[in-house]
This record gives sequence, structure tokens and C-alpha cells, in this order.
Amino acid sequence: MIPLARLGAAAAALLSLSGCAFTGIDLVRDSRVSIQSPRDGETVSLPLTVRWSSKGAGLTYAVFVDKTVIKSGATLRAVVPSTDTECLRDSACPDAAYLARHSVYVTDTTQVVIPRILGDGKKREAHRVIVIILKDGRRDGEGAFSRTVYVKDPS
Amino acid sequence: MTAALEEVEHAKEDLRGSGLAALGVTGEESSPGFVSVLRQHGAYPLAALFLLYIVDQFQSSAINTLSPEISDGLGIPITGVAALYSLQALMASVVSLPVAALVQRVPRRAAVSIVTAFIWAAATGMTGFVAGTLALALVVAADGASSASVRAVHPSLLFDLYPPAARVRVFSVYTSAVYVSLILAPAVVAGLAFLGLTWRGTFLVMGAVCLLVACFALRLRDPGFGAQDTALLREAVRAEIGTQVADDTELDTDLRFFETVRRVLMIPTVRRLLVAFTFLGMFLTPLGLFLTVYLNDHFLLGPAGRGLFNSLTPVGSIVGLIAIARVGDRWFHGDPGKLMRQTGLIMAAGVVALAVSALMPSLLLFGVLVAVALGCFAMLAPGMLVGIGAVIPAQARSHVIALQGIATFGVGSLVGVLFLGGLQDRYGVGAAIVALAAPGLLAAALLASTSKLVGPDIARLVDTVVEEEEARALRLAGTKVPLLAVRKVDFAYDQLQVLFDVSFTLDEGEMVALLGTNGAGKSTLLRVISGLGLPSTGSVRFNGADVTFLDPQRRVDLGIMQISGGKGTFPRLTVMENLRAFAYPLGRDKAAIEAGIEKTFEVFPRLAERRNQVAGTMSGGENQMLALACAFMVKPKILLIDELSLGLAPKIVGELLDLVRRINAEGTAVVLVEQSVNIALSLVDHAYFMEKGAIRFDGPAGELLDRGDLLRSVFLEGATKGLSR
Repeated sequence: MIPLARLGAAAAALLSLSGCAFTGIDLVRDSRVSIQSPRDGETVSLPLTVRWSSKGAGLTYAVFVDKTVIKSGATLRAVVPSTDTECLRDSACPDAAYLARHSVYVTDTTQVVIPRILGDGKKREAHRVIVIILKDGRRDGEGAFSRTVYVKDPS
Repeated sequence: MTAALEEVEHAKEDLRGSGLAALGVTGEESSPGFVSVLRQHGAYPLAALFLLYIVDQFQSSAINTLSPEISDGLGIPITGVAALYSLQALMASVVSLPVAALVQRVPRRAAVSIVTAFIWAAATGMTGFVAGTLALALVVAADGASSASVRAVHPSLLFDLYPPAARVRVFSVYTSAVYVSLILAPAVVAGLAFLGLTWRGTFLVMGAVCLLVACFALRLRDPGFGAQDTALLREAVRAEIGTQVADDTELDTDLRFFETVRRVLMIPTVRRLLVAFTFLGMFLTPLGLFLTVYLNDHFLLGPAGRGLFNSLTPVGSIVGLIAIARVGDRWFHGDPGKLMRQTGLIMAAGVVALAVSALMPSLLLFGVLVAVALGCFAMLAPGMLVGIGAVIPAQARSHVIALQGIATFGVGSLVGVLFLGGLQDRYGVGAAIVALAAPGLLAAALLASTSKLVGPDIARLVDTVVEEEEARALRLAGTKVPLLAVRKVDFAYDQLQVLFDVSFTLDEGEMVALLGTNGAGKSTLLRVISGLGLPSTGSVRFNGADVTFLDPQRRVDLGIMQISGGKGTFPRLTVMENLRAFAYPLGRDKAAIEAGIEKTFEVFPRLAERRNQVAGTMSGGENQMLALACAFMVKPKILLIDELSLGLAPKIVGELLDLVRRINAEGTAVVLVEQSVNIALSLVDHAYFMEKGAIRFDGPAGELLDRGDLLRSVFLEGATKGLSR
């Protein structure tokens, strides 16, 4: 049994060194945002308006469409691909237009209009819309509020 | 001595019936009530392992269900989370073999099950604390690795906790844990989400549940290998032959890990089933993916609809398990082959139901047929487990079940996803589901075909146990056993059988000749004795101990040494280096080795003159002499010499034969394989003659000279060679 015990101890040590966090994690769901529309699984047309209600005041929101969201505490510069050196050199980049081109929409209000969604040409495509909260330009917490929608005739 | 061996053969035949009954094959299609079996053997171990199996699925099931939330929470791509889900399954498959090796070395399966349960409980809980991809990968890998104990250890434990009379039902209950978990885990996730917990909170709670179950399992105990079958059989044999229970450790030749693996791979049922498992993996792994895509594309079902569909289908699987539990044990008791045949037919029925489902226009009909198919597939596990477990020694069950996991989830899954995934891209998911029928039906046919193998394999297992006990009894009674006893050996190079029911004995200090025409199987028999080839049936015993599956190097340590004809030395090493290389059985004492070499040089002065010459530059006769010198130095108990005289001048052969006599005179028993009858019979008192893979003569050398019918073939062959030259 000694090898197993040693293995367990090594695994525990490795875990604590590899980035397990024991503080500042959310065990209870973030309820600051509640998406009002669209409903989950709803078939929608473009442009798509996403609306939500918020319990917080003075918050900024970023809406990601079919895109992996940024990590907690990260800024929206994390959206910029590492290959886009021009944008990374510019401290003002990314701006709202740049982000929209990359399927990310930033707003201080509780709704956003998504004019287009990149599709793969199927008749009925599933897309995922995710709203996260920003505070001082950084993602606040791990709360993410999502809806899966089907876009009618995306072309 | 031959009488002792005949006694063993008679005992095998007499005890086969009761032996088969001890392994659960009674010939009658009846079985005791399950409740009475649980009362007698306890419900707790089954309950503990059942619960462990359920919670073992928690982490992977939760990762599967919560992958969007984990992706959103950590900001990592959802494909990355899906890849980690695969990592978990991969780790569980790959680590199962090392776990099998561990429980072979440290036979505490219950303790391994408990410790690994605590590890995966910790890993599940820790998943709630991960801050990035690396940490997530580590907890998933830890969970997968610790889950390997479920695959490698739990079934092996269940085999030894419950009697053969109820095993199909035991395994039906146990494997139903998978389906209970498939229903329960998403329900727990949904319930915790309803209570407002995040994915982190969910993992934390699930980890706590795993911890509670691991604590519940703390009273599990290992009953010992074969406690419900082979141990009982041994007791029955001992009672029959009146052996006192005693540990005769001299007879123990415990196989090491790879020896065990090789041994089980020699069992025809195991080999056939591993191929069947590979096709089963090709069939089952892409099935889940195809069903999801088909529901989405064909019936336009969203995540909620698919979730409902997926939560209903395990019900069909549980119904299937109830069905097999009702009849499986009876089938096995009556005829193990029937269990395998019926299981194959059930699988074929499931494959047909699935292929037809893809042609159904309505979701209801599709769902019903899929549920029927999944019900049929659920029935496979208990039948296959009981079938494969019945033909292998108890100590090797973990190995085989681990190999089965690798065949199914490693090889089969990979091939299935690669080939059938391509088919889906080209012809659509409906066609891919229909195409799944090909590997599915092949797996079913292979499974059903084991019906002819499983009975004889169980009988062979009984024979092995009886032979071991008989050998032990003879030894304890002080009966002299042969130094080497090869019993009823069959050997094949792939599909080509070259040895048929070969029996051969050699006494201490004896020198025998093994004669026969070219291709008669003489060299192959030597390979079986020295461990270079493993027999498909039969046994090789050294001093009464079973060495049939021992590695060649372990046989050298025991004292079995072979000189291959014309290839008995290392051609690139010098004479001195060759002797040093062959001296490794003498230990690490350099001074003793050098003394041994010098003593050898005294007997082989010609080699002393050439001590620094490279062996490859010496003549054939000198190379044979060097090989004999190595044997003289090591002083093995048995020396197997293959074609000593091949291509050598008569004068040289004469010198070599003198050396063989000298080695024999020092106490080494010698088996001399020769094509030259004159040479061989001038040296030995006892001879064997082989023809077409079978022993045709076993008796005094002088009598062989009177057997013109046998020797004619050798002489004719020699004459033909002479003419052709």
C-alpha cells in the first residue's frame, strides 16, 4: 500500500502546485444576471436581440457568440489572437468594432443586438450566446449566463 | 515414475466432473435463489462495490453534463473539456493493466478498491477547486487512473466473493450501476443546480458523496484468489486424494505479470473474446455520438430533448439486465457454451434493432428500437464477464479484464471513431448507424463462436488444478517425480499446429535422444521446454513444479539450458566474453565466475588457446565446443542440445560427444536432438522418436533399432539428401 499512499501524496502535491484555487471561487451560482430573451432552444432570426435583467448597478457586460469566454480577472485583450501583433501593440485595441468583428459585443445596458452570426451553412444551426460581467475592464467572477438558440435561415 | 504420471492422468479424468461442478458447470439448468445466495455470502460486498461503481462515474458524468458551464467558468474551449472527458476514459483503460500488476504483487484487492475510491473522491471534490486547464487535466487524470481499479479489481473481487451459481445475477446487479449512474448523476447535477450551486459546488458535493461511499466500503475484505471456485476445487481434490493441507513452497512457481498475460493469451476463449471486444469497441463507442447527432439532425431534438431521450434509454438497459439475470446462471450451469451462444445471438438481435431504427420515420419508433437495442447490449456484460472469468485462473482475472478494457476502449474505440466517423462525414449519420451493423454483427458472431471453446477451456482449467494438486500430493508423499515432465503438449505457429499431444519425461542425470525426420517437431519441443515457445495446451513440469508459462530466463535460473544447433554462441563476442555472458546464472561474484571460467578452460584447452578470438571467426565445431563449454561452466540441471553434429566432420563430432558425456557425468541430464540415429544411439540408453509432431516411439534405444518402420523414413531422408548432393 505504500506505493499507493506515496502516489496519492504526490498527486495532492502536484494538484496544489498546478493551479488549484482554494479562495475566491464561486460555489453558489451568480444570480446578478438573468437572460430574458431569447429562451433556451428558441429558433430565432437575425438580427438577434439579447435582453437580460441585472441586480447589479454600474456593470458592464460582454456578450460572446459561439466563442470561448475570457478567464475570470482577464481583460478583453484576451480576445485578441496572439497572431494579431498590430492590435496587441496598440493600447487602445481592441475597441468595440474590433470585438464585434470577433463575435464579442460590449455594452453598459442590459441588451445587445447581434447583427450577424457566422454559420456553417446548415439549414438549422445551433449557436451559443454567453453573457459575462465586467468590472473595471476585467471579467468579474466566473458567472456566465448562456442561451443556446437555433438560427432560422442564417444565410 | 511413469506410474505416478499415469496416476495423475487418472485423477484428472476422475475429478473432472466434480471439478467442473466446483466451477459452476453442473450440467443442469437450475440455480439457487439469489436471496439465499446473498444471505449466505452477504449482500454487503455487492452493495459496497455497486455503490463504488455508481460514484466512480460521478466525475466523468458531471464533466459531460457540465462541460458548457466549466468552459464558461474557466474560459477554456468546450472542445478542451470534451478532450479531458476522453482523457478520463483513456486513463481508466491504460492504468487498469498496472493495477492488475499491483494486485498480483500485493494481493489486497479490497484495500486497493478502497484506497482508489478515496483518491477519486478527492479528485472529484478537487475538481471544484481547479483554476485552469492543467489542474483540471490533473484531477481528471487522477480520477481516471484511480477508476482503473473498478475495471481491474472489482470484477475479480466479485468472482471470489460470490459462488459460480449466482455470478450472472451478481454481475447483472453490479453492471446495472452504470445505468443507475447514467440516470442518477445528471439528476444530482440538476438537483444541485436547482439549489443554486455552480459547477464547482456540484463537484464538491459529489466528492463528498464519493467520500461517504468510500467510507461505507471500508469493511470490504479480500477473500483470496479463487475463494469461490479454484480454492474449493483444490480442497475437493485434496480431500479426494487425501493430501494434508500444507504449503509446499518448493512447488510454487508464481507467474510474473507478463508471464500471466502471455499465459491467458494462450487460452482460445480469451483470444477470441479479445477480438470480439475490439469489434464491440468499434461498434459501441461511436454509437453514442451517432445517436446524439442523429437525434439533432433527423428529429431536430435540442439539448433538453436529447437529455430526456438519453435519460430514458438506460431504462431499457436495466430491463435487459433483469432479463439476463433471470436466465444467465441457468444457461451457464447447464452448458457454458450456451451462455456464450445466447449472448452472441442477443447482441446480433440488438445490432439488427439498431440498424432498423435508423430507417424509422417517427421518433417514438426510433426510441423504442434504440431502447431494445441498448437493452440487448446491456445483457452482454454479465454473460461475457462470467464466460471469460470461468476459463482463466483466479489470479489472472484482473489481467484479462484489463486487457478487455484496452481492446474495447483503446483499440476498438479508436478504430471505430476513425473509420465510422469518416463514413458519417461522407454518407450521413443515418448511413453510419446502419454501417455500425458490420462490426456489431462481427462481434456477435465471434462472441457466439466462443460457445465451442469455453467448455474445453474450463475443463483444461480443472485439469491444471487437479494436476497441480496431484503433483503436490506426490511430492508430499515422497514419490519420486521426473526431473522434467512434458504432458500432452500441443503447439502451433499461428494456425499451423506442429506438436500434437506430446508427452516426454527426463529423469535426473539421464541422457535421452530425441530423434525424427526433418520437420517432425523436435526443435519445437525443445523450444517449449526452454520457454521460447508456449504450448496451446499441456504442461511442462520441472521437478514437479509447473513451469509451462515461465519466461526462458527464469527457466535458465532453475537450471534448464538450451544449445541451439550452430547458433549457440554470440558470434561478435570473444570466447572469454561468451563465457562471461553465459555465466550470469552463477551470480555476481566476479572472482567465482573467473574461477569457473578457468576451470572450464582446463577441460576445454583448445578454447583456452583462443580465449581472445571472436567466436564468429572460429569453425563450426569450435563454436559447438564453446557452447558446450558454457554449459559445462553453468552446470545446468537439464541441457537441451539441438543438432550438435550438424555439418561437422565425424572426428569433431566424436570429440564433442565425449564432452557431452563428461557434462552428463557431472550430473546434468541431457536431451540430445539428432538427425543422425547412429550418433544419438551410441550415446543414450533411452530414445524418443518423433514424426509429424507426435511421439511415435518412447523406449530403450536398442528397441528403436528394431523399428525399421520408423527409422526407414530417417534413412530414406538421409539417402535422398545424399543423392541430391
